Amino acid sequence: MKPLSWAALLGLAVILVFLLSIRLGSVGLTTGEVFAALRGEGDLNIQRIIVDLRAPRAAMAILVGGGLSLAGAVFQALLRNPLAEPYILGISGGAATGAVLAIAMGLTASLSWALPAAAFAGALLAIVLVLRVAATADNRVDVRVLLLAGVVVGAFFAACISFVLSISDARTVRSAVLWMMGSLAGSDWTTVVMVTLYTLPAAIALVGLARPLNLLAIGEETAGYLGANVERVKRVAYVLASLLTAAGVAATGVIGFVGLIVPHGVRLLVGSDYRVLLPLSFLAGAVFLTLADVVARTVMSPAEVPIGVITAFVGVPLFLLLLRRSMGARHGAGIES
Amino acid sequence: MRWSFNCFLLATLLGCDVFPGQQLPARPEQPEPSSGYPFRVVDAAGAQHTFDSAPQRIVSLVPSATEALLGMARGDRLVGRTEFDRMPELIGLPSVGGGLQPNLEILVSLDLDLVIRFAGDSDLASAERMTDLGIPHFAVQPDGIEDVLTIIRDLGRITDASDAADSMLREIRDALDDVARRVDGLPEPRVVYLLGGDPPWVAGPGTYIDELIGIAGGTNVFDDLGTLYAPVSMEALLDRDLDLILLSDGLTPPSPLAHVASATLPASVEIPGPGLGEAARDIARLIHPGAFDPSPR
Repeated sequence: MKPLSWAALLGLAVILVFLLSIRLGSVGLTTGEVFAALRGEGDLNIQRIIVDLRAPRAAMAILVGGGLSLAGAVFQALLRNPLAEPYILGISGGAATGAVLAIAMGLTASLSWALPAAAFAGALLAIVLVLRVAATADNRVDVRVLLLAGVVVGAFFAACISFVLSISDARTVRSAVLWMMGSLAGSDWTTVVMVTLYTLPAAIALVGLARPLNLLAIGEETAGYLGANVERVKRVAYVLASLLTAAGVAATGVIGFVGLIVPHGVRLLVGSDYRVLLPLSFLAGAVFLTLADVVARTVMSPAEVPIGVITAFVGVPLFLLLLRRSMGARHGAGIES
Repeated sequence: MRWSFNCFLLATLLGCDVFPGQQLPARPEQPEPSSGYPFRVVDAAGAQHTFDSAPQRIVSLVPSATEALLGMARGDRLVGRTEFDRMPELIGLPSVGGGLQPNLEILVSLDLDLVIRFAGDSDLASAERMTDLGIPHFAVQPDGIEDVLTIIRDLGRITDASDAADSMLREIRDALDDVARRVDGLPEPRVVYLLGGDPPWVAGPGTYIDELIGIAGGTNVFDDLGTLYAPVSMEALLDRDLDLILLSDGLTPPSPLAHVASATLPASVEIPGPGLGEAARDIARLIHPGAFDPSPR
């Protein structure tokens, strides 16, 4: 299929999964009731379920799923490492440390925004720390150092979390663990607007960097010869992808696998041209996380399965299937099932 | 082959539609004429509440409160339960998930007058969302015995069952007094109550468990614990020079403590509610068997 057909298909899929996501939930509603609620008619409680619970949650899944997936694709290009994902540079550790500190200090009891704010601040701290370490004397960024610094900073934050939790009471530990498992359950329109304000500009700007990222994938020196401002591209891409990740992690906690699996899956389908890969990764990530959230919410209703479990259970087999298929195609040996 | 994963997605989509969901209940009209209202009360989260009449549709996320409501014959007001409420009176009701992070969608659909929730910040997000969604919620925190008694008294006033609540309170106080009288003057063995976990969790001062051990004529060896509940190392347990280990239902004593006498308590002890008096008796029987066994041998 051509990239444009994929884009149209995925764009349509985003709309479909959004509708599916507000159609399905723990409470059985008819399609008629759902549309009535969307028009602001019918039972007030059904309107609350659709407009205040399911719709912001579906919107958040689209934003965070798209954002994480896009950020993952950018990090893979930037670090020239297929294992790169949005959290690889310590952002999840920084965010979690902020969140755990806010919970442990009891700030969350009086200020509802303290937890996302602290998580975002922690993520920003991690971003700045990693960038400062990786920036060399002549103000260049060595991506190998960036990767190493990110992993080490992440490990440091993980130690901070372990320490804080080890001296905290049971309630703090429980809240912190729940937060770190990641969930879209807390999504309301205020957080959706906040995350949109970070996600949309950052996503558009990153898609705009697709051409220089294509050049970077060949090699920094070559990219320089071909006219890319390598240092600037690296820095801007790093900061934007990190902000994207930070906004998502602050609103929903740490949701794994999306940023690793989706970009690779898209890459296997459409190839490595970042002008195609980046927008399609956003759309595919949005579809993937929204579907995962529908499953998380309904499969064991009324309880919720942690969404990270679903992204792994659904994403990993799907990804392995794609991987096998592409290997078969590459070796001309065709693995049929 | 190319479409195999699309087929997989499709199967996922179709599968979703057949998951059973709860239907919205019809709302009964039922005005409640009674005295004692409006009832003003401050909950454990410091929120001010005014009840103009007894709430008719209640979900309790807190086992202590659920037991209290059942005990004062207000079980008919409960229209939902948590996954952990397995008693026959409630098993037929729709489940709202766990007591922490309940399923908000189902709570909305139940058209509730009141949700009883845990106070504290372990689930602040749910409380805020309930406020946003127009679900009245009342916070309780059953830490110590007095907290539990307050919950029973408040719930009695709120649900127009003050008399039942008062007699429940009297029964608990009488039972606690009876236990305290029986063990009065006896030596106080050094006791620990293990709640499970590895390393095991123990109860510290401020918990009803610590208070019950005291009433039952024992000394809680972790009466210096900095928090309500905490895990403690095996070394610390050995160091405390134990006389008796009380075990939560289903636990076996840790092997380094095999030389210390141990006994298992029924699971009901871990729901601090109307059963507090019985729990005190259960614990006292294990600490001071003689005080409860006057039968001639």
